[in-house]
Amino acid sequence: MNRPSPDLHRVAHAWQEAATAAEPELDLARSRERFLRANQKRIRSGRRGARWWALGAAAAAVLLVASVGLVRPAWFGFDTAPEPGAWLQTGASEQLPLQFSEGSKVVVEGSSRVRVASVDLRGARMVVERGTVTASIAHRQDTRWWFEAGPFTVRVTGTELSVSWDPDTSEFALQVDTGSVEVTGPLLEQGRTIRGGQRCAVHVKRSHLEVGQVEPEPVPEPAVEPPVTELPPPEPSAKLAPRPAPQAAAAPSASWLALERSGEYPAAVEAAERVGLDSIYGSGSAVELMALARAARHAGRHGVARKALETCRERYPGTAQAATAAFLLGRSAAPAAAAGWFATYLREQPSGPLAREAAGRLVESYHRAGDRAGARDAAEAYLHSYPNGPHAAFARSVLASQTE
Amino acid sequence: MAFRGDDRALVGGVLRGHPGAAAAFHDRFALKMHGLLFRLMGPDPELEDVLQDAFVRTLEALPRLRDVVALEGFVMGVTVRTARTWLQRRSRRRWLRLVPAEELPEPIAPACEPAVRQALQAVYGALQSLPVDERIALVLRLAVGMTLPEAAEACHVSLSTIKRRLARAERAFMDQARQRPVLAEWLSGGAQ
Repeated sequence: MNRPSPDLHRVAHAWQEAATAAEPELDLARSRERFLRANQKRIRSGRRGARWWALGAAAAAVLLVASVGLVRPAWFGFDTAPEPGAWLQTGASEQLPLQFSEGSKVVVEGSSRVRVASVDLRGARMVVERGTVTASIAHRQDTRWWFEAGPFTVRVTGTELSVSWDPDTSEFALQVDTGSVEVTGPLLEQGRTIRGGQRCAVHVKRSHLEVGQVEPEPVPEPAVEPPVTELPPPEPSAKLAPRPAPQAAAAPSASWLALERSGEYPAAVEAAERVGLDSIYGSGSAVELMALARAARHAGRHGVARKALETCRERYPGTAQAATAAFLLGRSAAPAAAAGWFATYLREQPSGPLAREAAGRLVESYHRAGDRAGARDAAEAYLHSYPNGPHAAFARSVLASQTE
Repeated sequence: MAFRGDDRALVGGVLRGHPGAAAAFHDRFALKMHGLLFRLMGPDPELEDVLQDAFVRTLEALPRLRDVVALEGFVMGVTVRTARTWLQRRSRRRWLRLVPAEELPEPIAPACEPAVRQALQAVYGALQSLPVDERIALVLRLAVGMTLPEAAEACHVSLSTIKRRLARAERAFMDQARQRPVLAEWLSGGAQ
């Protein structure tokens, strides 16, 4: 059987030719971006290794006092051993990491209250009463992890994600970095698959559902950004806030930027608040304002994020950061306003790294806003520039719906 | 920050977190991995997700690479095993779709002639009847054109095991192919 029969040889030849002809084109830039994001996450988690151990030990000590019967089945359970059913609560600047024996990691982010409702052979069920959990769920053939966030249920089979629920505002947010999950809940009664690189946000009281791509993380930027220690010190900001002593000012600024760069977003925002948000708005560089916006967005501080982006546009018009700020403002705006922001990005950066995504979102925004002419023009422009782009099918459907 | 260097420097750069090395590593292997996954999985809307999964697994496995000379084979081996996991998962869930059809992404529509597309659909339809390990052996040998030792290395099995899998796979696949008119043309050389 070392050599294929003549029939198989013919099949092999035809198969190889057909596969070469039919292989879809890989969007290399998008693939690279996703890869770099995952790699960045891997590096961060490696750096956090020592902290995991320290915090894990602290968590175990606290839980030892708070719970009884810490013996866990050998095949599954916490390494840091909270009793299933026990509530776990974090302060504003705390993170509580949980290491599960099958390799999954869950971080309870700041100001959160969660409960591990159950564990079994294949996974666990965690209830997020309030706040955010970030998880890296180990791939296994039969993994079954569930996150219940308010009225939403997220089913996980192996992925990296974060789940947030704010019972006060009835806002649910889900971001999937790798793999895919299924989410059910209000406005998602039939269930929906959210894949790597996508996010899903639901505002229950407003009956607003949004599913879209996670905005590209500026992962490649470290190549051009100065390292933290080389950042220019904050400029004098006496008009905006009491000016701290020079030595005291430099440290907190570097501190919040360092926290942001290591992915500790809630802590970064809190540190920035200690420095003074008005001071950063008034004297921060474009890079710093975008960093503040990024941290605030990930920390759920949307007002701070919006203010930082708007300030970046006001103070640094014509820069790449200002254009990116327009794109990000469009992502969180109502459809009509979003169309304006995406059009702004395209006007300022017609060949920018987010141009294709902005062009696609422009079609979506006009369509959602009920602007038929705008949607048609945007769809035609999109198909002209990106006939095989990710929004091409949607653009064609928009055009088709207008010719019916 | 562009990265320059040989494979040894590339691996070292990735492991140390050099930002340019990661991008270079991606660009070095992405198209090959994508092509291999396409041949293993066929037209599949999850192709790019599986590619990312393969990259993540490669990064996790990279510290275990013993001989940097074998880097490409190592990466392709991880890619094959990633595809194997996804194929097994898909075969288990095939009977049950939990997601409404309208929520599923559209299958990839290869930009090729309809006859080629139909033939590939028939091929991957025929492959579904094969156990995953046998399917992989067949694809690596016929569609990718690997030698038997290369296929054995990619599957992490012995040469005799890959031969046994291939023998079973070829018999089953030919039985299926003869029942499908499009593939009957391939068998007779008519499509060429």
